[in-house]
Amino acid sequence: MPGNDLKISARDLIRKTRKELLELAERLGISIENGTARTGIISALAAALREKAGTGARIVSTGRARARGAAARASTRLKDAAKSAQPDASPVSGGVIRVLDAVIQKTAEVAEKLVLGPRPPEKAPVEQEALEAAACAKAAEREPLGSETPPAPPEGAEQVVHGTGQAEAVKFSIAEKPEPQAFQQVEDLGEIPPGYGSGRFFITGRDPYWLFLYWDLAQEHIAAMKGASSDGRMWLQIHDVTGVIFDGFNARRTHEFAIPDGARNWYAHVTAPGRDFIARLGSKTDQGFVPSVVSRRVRMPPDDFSPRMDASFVTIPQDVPFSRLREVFRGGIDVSPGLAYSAAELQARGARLPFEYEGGGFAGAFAGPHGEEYRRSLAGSEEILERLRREALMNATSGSSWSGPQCGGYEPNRGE
Amino acid sequence: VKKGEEKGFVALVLHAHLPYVRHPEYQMFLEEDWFFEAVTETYIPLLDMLEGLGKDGVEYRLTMSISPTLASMMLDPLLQERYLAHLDRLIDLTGREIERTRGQPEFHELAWMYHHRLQHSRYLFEERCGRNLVSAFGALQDSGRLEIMTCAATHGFLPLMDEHPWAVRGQIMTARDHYTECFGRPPRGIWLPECAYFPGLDAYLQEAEIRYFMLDTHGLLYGEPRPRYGVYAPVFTPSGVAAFGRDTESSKQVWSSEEGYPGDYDYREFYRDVGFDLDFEYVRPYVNPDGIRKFTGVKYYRITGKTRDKQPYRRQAALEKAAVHAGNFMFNRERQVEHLHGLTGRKPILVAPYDAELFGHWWFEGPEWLNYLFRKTAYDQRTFAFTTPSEYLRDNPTQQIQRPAASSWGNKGYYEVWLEGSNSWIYPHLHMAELRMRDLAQRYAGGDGIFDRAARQAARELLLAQASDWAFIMKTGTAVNYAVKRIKDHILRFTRIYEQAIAGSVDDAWLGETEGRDNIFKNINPAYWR
Repeated sequence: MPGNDLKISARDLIRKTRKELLELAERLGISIENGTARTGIISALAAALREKAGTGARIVSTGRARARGAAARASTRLKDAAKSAQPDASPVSGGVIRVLDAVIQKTAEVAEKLVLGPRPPEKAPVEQEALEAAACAKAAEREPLGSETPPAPPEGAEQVVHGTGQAEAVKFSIAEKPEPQAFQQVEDLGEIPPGYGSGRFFITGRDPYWLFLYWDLAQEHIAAMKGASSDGRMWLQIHDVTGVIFDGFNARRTHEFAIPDGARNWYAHVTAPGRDFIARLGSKTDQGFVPSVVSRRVRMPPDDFSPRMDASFVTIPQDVPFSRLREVFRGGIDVSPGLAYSAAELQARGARLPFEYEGGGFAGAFAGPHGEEYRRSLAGSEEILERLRREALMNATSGSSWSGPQCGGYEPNRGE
Repeated sequence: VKKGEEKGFVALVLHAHLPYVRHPEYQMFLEEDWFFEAVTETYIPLLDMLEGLGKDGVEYRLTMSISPTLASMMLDPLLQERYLAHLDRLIDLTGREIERTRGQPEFHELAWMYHHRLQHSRYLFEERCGRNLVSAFGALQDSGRLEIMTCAATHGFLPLMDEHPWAVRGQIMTARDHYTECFGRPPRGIWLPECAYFPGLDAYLQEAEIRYFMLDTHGLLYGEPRPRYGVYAPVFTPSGVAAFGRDTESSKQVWSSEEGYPGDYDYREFYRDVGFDLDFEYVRPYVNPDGIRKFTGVKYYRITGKTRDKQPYRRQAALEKAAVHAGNFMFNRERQVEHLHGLTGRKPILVAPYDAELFGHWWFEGPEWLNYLFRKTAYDQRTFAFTTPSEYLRDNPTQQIQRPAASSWGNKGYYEVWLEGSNSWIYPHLHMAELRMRDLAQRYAGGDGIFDRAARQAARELLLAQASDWAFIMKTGTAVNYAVKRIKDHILRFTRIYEQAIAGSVDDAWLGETEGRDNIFKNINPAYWR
């Protein structure tokens, strides 16, 4: 079918089963002797594909430097791989080693050409070879995917990570019958940007002790803030605004940080469970702090019991959809604090509702607030809560509450 | 125990989830094994066990979440096909193992066991279920004993989307719609990814007509006001959705790597696998074609002790131990229920949630343990009954009102696992994509033609990028490359779609290919992101 190329990378070949390889060989009109080892078939196919590809071979867009690096890396890795192969290997692995040897040699040659030689007039074939060798090497070298781990960004001043060489494989294009849904293994998607300059300033209470913030500002914006500062730096202010409507001056407490160049986020150790915060970025001038970006208001998670010990109970019938309950409770009552509160209030008033209920304040759920049952339940409640608190504290301090090897979800030690 | 005579209730909850891993561009893909292993070792054994209980007329109650990504993989024809090929390779391997171990009776017997188990799995998967595990679990739900919850669409970490209501809504409404497609009814409950809660999340659940969810213990314990019954009764959140808290005691007994049952010396050792133990040339056809050794699931040793000198696994002894442990768990719950009942005069409910994969995959004998537990509980005691959250709520619709506290079940109890040095770099990208998604939804949702397709595919890419699994993997340090690549690929595909759509010219062929690649949620509704 014209315009529909069958694309097979070297790695793809290596991933195929023997049966699939034989089928492919048949489709390409290559005769394979009975009993040929899988690696033998791969070599034959690779050779045939390369031949067929000819000038039509397409290379994933990539730079010369990257190809050179890939080839050099591949060469080294392959040598290591060959070294670790067993000396008394069976015929099959002997075949693999021969293939590896060939690839090593080829990779080394290509790398040398790229490193030593002047830029050749026709760079494409050389690059293609390098890439192809790199692709083979990668496959042989047991990497699940062609992306590399980014370095772990440092806490406090972290950079957005750039991935490396994702396009180090080669596709062979052959005018052949395509498979029903052929997907390219390497998509040329580019790289994620370090930032968007969107002007956003994010804040969240990560836990009762740490605030996390990041900003996505245009370079000019940051430069302007720095320029306006008497010390040439951008400043971060974190305000404890618990119980106040913040007007810029009435924070209960303010933490201040000079932000190092290049930092895009910040972890602030405030140790303030249940308290509210607002953060601002700006400049420090002789007249004081001049804010330029203001965050939303966030509340830190609590790490202990609420001081509130009242309890109100409500009946919420489970067979009535919320959409219907919203209509029922909207009758003459403000639903903004939440459906459950509205329902409790109606039930406390003894309102007529289209379902039975016993909720509405504390009395509804029990024999009565002064009865024996009530006193017993309250004492029991204290005992339960104390015990649960001890357990929760133990879990929090042991730091291992639910992360044993049994619950990771992903196997550690996967084939390394 | 007769209904009404029990002194309390226990709700076992299994959370079944895997990230969406499907790579049509490769013949075989290592990370797809996560799914295959879980099917063989957990989902099929659970299904088999539950069907057995049903056949024997045992009254049990079990609650299980099946995340929309896991359900989608179960329903995907390509993965079904690949799973069968995977099973066939293992059946072939165990056939060879039967030959190889002829002179070693203790292994030989096990080789036969695996061979039979795998053939049985094949029969169940292919013949009995017609490859459709979702329908099989759905049928169990229809029988009234199993309750299936949904989860957020791709297991997104919801507290870190709280600034963008439409992003939270997209995760939840997409999950609800998908559940309804899968099981023929809307979900009553949801497993919040990582049990992660932020105040206000309950309102989105109300919008989706979801009636309950689970929190870790401190989510209820530190809520406002104090919960009168600790975690032994649910609360109604302000929106009217019920929240159940985890019972630490029963969780720990099963889950803890040290004190828990799964570490017993008679149980099977997870890390000794023929994929790593045997001669490479011998196992080569059964491990990765490019030569990575991997787990095959054929394991011959028991935990033995804190030693490297592992002894052969003895199946009978392990099963007997599972029965003993089931009895122990039941006994402890009886005592706990009696104690709590005495303290408050009310019938407590103990909610014990676990990762489903603990049963079978990590703890090989886990499904048998559950089997014994359900049977013993039905016949050997009169103190408690198993229940599901919705059954409990139907019978007990009056509860305390509370605002639960921000929390998760991750290490240290809050958001740190998913927001720290290794993974915080992803959030500016995710948040930007969330903003752009709203833009796309406002412009194109509900239209037709290629722009509507673009908006739908953009929503898929955003959802796939949001999976909490990627941040988790980066934190734990295994398969990090893969997680990084997945986030980047989805963000980049999303960005390309966004830019093309905004520029008014969408590359039809490329969009088509991307739809085939990331083919989850066929009927996704981008209007949720408006």
